[in-house]
Amino acid sequence: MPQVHPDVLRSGDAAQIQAAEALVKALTVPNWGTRTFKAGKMTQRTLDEFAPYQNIPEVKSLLESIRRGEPVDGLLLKWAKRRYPEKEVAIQTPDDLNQWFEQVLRDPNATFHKPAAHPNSRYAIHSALVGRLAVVDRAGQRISVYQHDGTQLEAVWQTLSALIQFKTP
Amino acid sequence: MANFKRPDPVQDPLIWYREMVRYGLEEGVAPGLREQREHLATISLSALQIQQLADLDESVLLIITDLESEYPPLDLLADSHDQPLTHWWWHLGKLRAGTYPAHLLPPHLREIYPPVAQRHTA
Repeated sequence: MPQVHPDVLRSGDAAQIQAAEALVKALTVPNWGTRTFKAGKMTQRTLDEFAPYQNIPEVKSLLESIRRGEPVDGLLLKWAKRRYPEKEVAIQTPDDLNQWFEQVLRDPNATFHKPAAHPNSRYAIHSALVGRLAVVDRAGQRISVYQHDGTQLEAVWQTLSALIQFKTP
Repeated sequence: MANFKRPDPVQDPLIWYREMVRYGLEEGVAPGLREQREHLATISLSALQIQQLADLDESVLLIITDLESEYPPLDLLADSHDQPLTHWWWHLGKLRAGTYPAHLLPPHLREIYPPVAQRHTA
């Protein structure tokens, strides 16, 4: 089980404690939240790119929710984008995206990049080992994971192993 | 566990830009997007890749000019004044503010570049 690194707790650094707690939550609670689409050109582009797959039950359901302006499961949406329009063979099930995400956050050498000062800004964690960037919100919700070559990232704030540790049972 | 192969940017030069645009930009986190776009402006692309790039560019413009977005990519909105204006990807802040000279955009982007007054209903 992951836990906040004791040195972080001892430091009393509120920003680091918040970040470490968010990472622990993101690892232990696979919650991707929801997304609600509003009418507009980007929403239309999303509908258009899924149109050829509208007879597939999960896509049909997704499209209906988008059209009605109902919240769409964040994981299902990101998985469906990769599975259908992108036709990515590696991403067969939504759980494959969970694995992508967890592989980043389980890499002790993954780098945690300093978030912007804005309260809405999100955390970016990059694993050179797996070549991916995970995005986590400040409350520990999983936001995204995608392939990134690791260049042009913001300054490294911490390595993951300095913020959290994995306690063996 | 699924077999996750690493992408090959030689075979697929759009890979990093596509990933950032499709899975990072709308979430407010797409570090290196401008540099990747600059790189793509310097290499030869196939006709299909040029078409795919145009499509991704349109998404960038629509996302950047969505003023209702809860998570704008703040770090990308600080423009690089030492970059030519014609390289619009270095001037996303101006594009968002509506102060970018529209005539410098490629036609397919100019067509969807929303006047500031229409941004809230776009």
